[in-house]
Amino acid sequence: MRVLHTSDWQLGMTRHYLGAEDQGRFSQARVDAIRGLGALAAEQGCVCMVVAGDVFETNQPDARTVLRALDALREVTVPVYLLPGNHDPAGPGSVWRSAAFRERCPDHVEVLDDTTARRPVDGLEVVGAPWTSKQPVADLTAEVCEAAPPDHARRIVVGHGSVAEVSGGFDAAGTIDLGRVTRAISQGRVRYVALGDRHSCTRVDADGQVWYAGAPEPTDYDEVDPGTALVVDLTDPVPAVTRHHIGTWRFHRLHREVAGDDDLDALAAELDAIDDPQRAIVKVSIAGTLDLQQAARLDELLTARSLALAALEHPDRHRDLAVQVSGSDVTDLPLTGYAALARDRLLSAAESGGPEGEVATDALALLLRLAGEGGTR
Amino acid sequence: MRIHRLTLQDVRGLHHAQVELATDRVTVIEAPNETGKSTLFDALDVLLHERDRSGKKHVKALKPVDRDVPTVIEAELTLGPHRLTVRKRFNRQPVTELVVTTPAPRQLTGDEAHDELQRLLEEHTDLALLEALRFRQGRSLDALALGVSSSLAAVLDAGAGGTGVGDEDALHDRILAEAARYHTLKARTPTKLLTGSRDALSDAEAEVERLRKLQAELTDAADRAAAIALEQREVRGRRDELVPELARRREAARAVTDLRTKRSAAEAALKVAAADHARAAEAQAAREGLRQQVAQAQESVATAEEQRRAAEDALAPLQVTLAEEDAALAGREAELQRAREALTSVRLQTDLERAEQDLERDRTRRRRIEDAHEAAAEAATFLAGTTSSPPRHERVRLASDALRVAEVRLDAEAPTVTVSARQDLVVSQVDGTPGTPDGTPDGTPDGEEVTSLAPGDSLELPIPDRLRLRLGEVADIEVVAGRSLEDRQVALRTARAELAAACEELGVDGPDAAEALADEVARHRDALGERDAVVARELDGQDLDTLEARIRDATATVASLQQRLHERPGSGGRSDADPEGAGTPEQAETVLSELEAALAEQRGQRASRARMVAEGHEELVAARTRAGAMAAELDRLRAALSRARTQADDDTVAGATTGAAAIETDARAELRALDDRLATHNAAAVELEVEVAAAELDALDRRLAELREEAAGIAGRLEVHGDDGVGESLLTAEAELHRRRRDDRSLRRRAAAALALRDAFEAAREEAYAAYRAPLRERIVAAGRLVLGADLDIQLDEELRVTSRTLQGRTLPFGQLSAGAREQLAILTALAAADLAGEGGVPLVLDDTLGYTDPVRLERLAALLGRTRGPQVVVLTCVGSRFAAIPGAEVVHLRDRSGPSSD
Repeated sequence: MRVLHTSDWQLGMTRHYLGAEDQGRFSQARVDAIRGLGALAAEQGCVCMVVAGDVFETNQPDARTVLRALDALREVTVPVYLLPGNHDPAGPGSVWRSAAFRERCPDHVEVLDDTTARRPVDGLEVVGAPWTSKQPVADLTAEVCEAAPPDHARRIVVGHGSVAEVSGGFDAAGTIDLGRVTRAISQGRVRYVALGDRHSCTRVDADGQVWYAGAPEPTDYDEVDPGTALVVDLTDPVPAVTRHHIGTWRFHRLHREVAGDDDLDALAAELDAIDDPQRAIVKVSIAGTLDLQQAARLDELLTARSLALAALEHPDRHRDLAVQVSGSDVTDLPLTGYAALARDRLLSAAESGGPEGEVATDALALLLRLAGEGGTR
Repeated sequence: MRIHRLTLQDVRGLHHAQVELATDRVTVIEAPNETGKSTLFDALDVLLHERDRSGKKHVKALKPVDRDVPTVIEAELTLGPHRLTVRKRFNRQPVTELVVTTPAPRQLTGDEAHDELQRLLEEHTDLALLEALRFRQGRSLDALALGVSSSLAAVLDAGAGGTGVGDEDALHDRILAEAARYHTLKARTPTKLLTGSRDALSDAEAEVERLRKLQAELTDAADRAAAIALEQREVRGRRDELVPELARRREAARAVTDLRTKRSAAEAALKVAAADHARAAEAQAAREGLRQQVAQAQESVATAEEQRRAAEDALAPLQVTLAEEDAALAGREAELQRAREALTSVRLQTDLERAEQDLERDRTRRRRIEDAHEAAAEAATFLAGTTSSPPRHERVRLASDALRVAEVRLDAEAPTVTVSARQDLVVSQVDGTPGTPDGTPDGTPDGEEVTSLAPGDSLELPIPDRLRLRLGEVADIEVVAGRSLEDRQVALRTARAELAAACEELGVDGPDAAEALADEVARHRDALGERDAVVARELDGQDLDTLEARIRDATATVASLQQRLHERPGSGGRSDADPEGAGTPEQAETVLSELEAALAEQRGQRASRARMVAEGHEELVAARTRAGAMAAELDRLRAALSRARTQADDDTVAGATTGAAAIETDARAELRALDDRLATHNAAAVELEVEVAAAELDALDRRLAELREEAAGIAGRLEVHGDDGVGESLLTAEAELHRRRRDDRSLRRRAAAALALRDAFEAAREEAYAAYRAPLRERIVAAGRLVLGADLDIQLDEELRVTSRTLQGRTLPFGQLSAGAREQLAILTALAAADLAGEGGVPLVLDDTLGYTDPVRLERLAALLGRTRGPQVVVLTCVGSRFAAIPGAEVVHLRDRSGPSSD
């Protein structure tokens, strides 16, 4: 008896570094992931699919986002249980009560908006620990686990929230007490706890009965093993869990030290080597020393690659780059008279550093470019 | 370029003219107007720039009007290192000849010659400067723009140490263009690129803010809805607990209620018993009271009768006394009335007398006045008819006096006889008048004057003429006076005669009559004179009519008073109601006052008496009334007692009271027992608990209703916004905002770089230009201070144009200077430029300039020109004297050799 465990679809998620077109593809990928999950469930013979929270990025998603999701869900051939999470808690004003959702929700899709046990098939219970607000005052998941009878039934508790042992910190809102949960498991009250909230696929307990499925499509750079879904075989008392990769987008974080043209060439090659660039989001941090021309070249190559990639971030705060102005082409510019005087003064300012020095450096880079346009070089 | 010689043949009006010019100082070409001065350099222009076959208008214009001949222009020039002569023939049979003498001699013709000339010009001549330093007639007085001069630029640039001014202008322009994308050139205000980015950022921020606010509202609403749901659960839970509790409490309260009901009944029964007891006791008391009242009433009746009798006894004598006093009072009042009548009559009488007196007085006045008028009339009549006059009266008086004197003399100077008695003696003067034997004097009684003398007495008698005395019975004596007596008698007769005549004249009988007449005359005169005084005195400031009117009124008043007096009872025109003889009103008033006082006193006594009587009467009436009331009360009480006893005798009443008391006691005991039972149930607390629980239930129900209503409202709002996608819109807007901020930062960074680059270039350029312009400016200022003033200063722009002039502390833009000042500055600038250009320069040609310049400045300019060493300066003028002050100038007179002399 298999169940597909997924979570954190974050439908409607936006990324500021994505342009309009890329954002559209990014959003579509998340909807397509639903179809992928459905296909996986069908392929693996799952009896149902549980989505452990954060189906939507926000509790007030755009109606089109909802309708697209529901259309995709309609193609899933197994019962789907959607758990309200911290991004989309149940309750008044939630997406679950919106007209768009209510009117178009397929019959095989059910929202776990209470702790009533659902029985998609005989011998299987699915119990949800839904968030009903953004600030739950209790450990909903642990409570549900503890409330289940110790009958060793095939019972899945679907919960959402952070686990201190995994997140590394105690989050007051919705933190799941792993001890209580594992105790309930050991008491035969629960066979598997399907969690959501963490976007990286993660085994929480030692026995592998508490898992985060992770987001089906990655959402950030630091996720571990993103783009996965879990197929949980509940046949045995200790379920067997298999990971399946379904994500199509990738996040790449690059850090490079540059000191000259070779390094720039290498960086360019590395960026060019990224697979499926249209679904690649890259963040580049640069450190090192370049001259003005090389700095200009760096900006050019990054600008050019950003056109090919879905997004190429190279924020200033990730740039530890010193631009040497002296001994560069700008000093070799054949300027005379006042032009040379102005250039020299800017060089002086650039070498003095500070904010004015940065402006002077930029001014020199501009001079280099404009002088090149006029054939001065 | 230096021009050594110019030769013109058949150019406009010139047949043949040649001028040789100094190359290192001023050449002044003098010639009258319209003699070809300007043609010299117009021809030079054509020579240098036009091909010999040119058909251009200005070339054809050089052709003489009156003959069809070619125009030949020749010039000997130095261009750079080349000394050459160029000759061209225009308009007919075009020819160009170029002969270069130094450094390498060669000759060229035709187009080749022209082209070579162009090349040499281009290579060695700053044509722009040449044009700039050519001051033609009618030339614009705008500031000289020397920026076009390459030679000057080179000199200035070299002078500025090679600032490269102009070399990097293209780069500078690109820098400006790049900076202009972000900021305007002059005001440095952000362009639309920057402002647009900022505006887009602001819009994005505003949109994010709006969506955040909306989402916050929705979130708050959702949170509130959740809170409501939670509270509803809590309230319902509490309600579910409270309902059975309330039922339990109510059950307990019902038991208490039963006890209370019983207690209420017992209390009511007690009230009834107490009321019955009270009534019985009251009835008994009433019965007893009634009996007592009857007894008291009997006593009261007896007392009242006794009092009545006493009052009657006391009243009778008082009434008698009062009657007597009334009678006396009536008599006194009658007497008073009479006194009043008498007073009235007296007053009337007095008034009448007064009125009569007044009337009489007025009448007297009138009479006096009339008398005075009559007397005055009589006096006037008398005086008109009298013979009296003061002289006549005086004559009479004197005559009388003289007679008296004569008589006195007669008597006085008459001898005297003295009879001294030695014993009692009677002396009789028988006759003292002569001729009167009997001694009967005229007018004297016939008798004797007898004088009795006692012993020792003396009697002296005058002897007027003859005196006869009788001395008692003793003797008769006759004494005769003698002679003087005759004189005196004569005098006496004369005096008498005179007196008689005076009297006759006066018309009187004698002095006495005269005196009487005089008195009468005086009296009549007095009367006459006194009339006005009398009238004035009697009228006393009024007129006669007023007096007459007063007399009339007084007459009427008197008549009225008389009538009133007559009408008074018992009066006969006078009052006889004065039995005691009141006489005057004061007396009557005194009598009246006394009577009134007596009457008042009597009345007071009477009033006092009457009060006593009244009091006694009142007392009697009261006593009678009391007696009657007492009797009636006694009857009433007796009747009441009889009636009461008819209903219940005294014993029955007493028995009822006893029974009611017993019942009341029992009821009270019952009530106490119930109170004790209630106390044990703590009824108050039970009831309070029911109240509290019921109140809480009500509150819970109300709260549930409120929460339902609020939840419905929130649900409605959420439903309205549920499908708006606010959350996702916010995420999208935040991403957009992030992008805009990033782009804006990048844009501003680029703008800052462009601005910094521009500023650096501008600053360096300005410094370079300042250094570049300095030599020219200094030369202009130096020359200008010699001509215009020691404090002259000027400013040059990038085109080396004078933009302003400062003189005597006042700075004016070039355009605001006068024509003369502008021309002067232009020439000074040209001179400075020519001087700067040095050997590589071009000639400065001044063709009929400085027409607006005053003689002083002209002289200074001329001196300045004379100082010029180096540049070639050519001055064309029709007034040689204007430039006569140029020291060292070469003066050339333009002569047309083949035609009329231009001298």
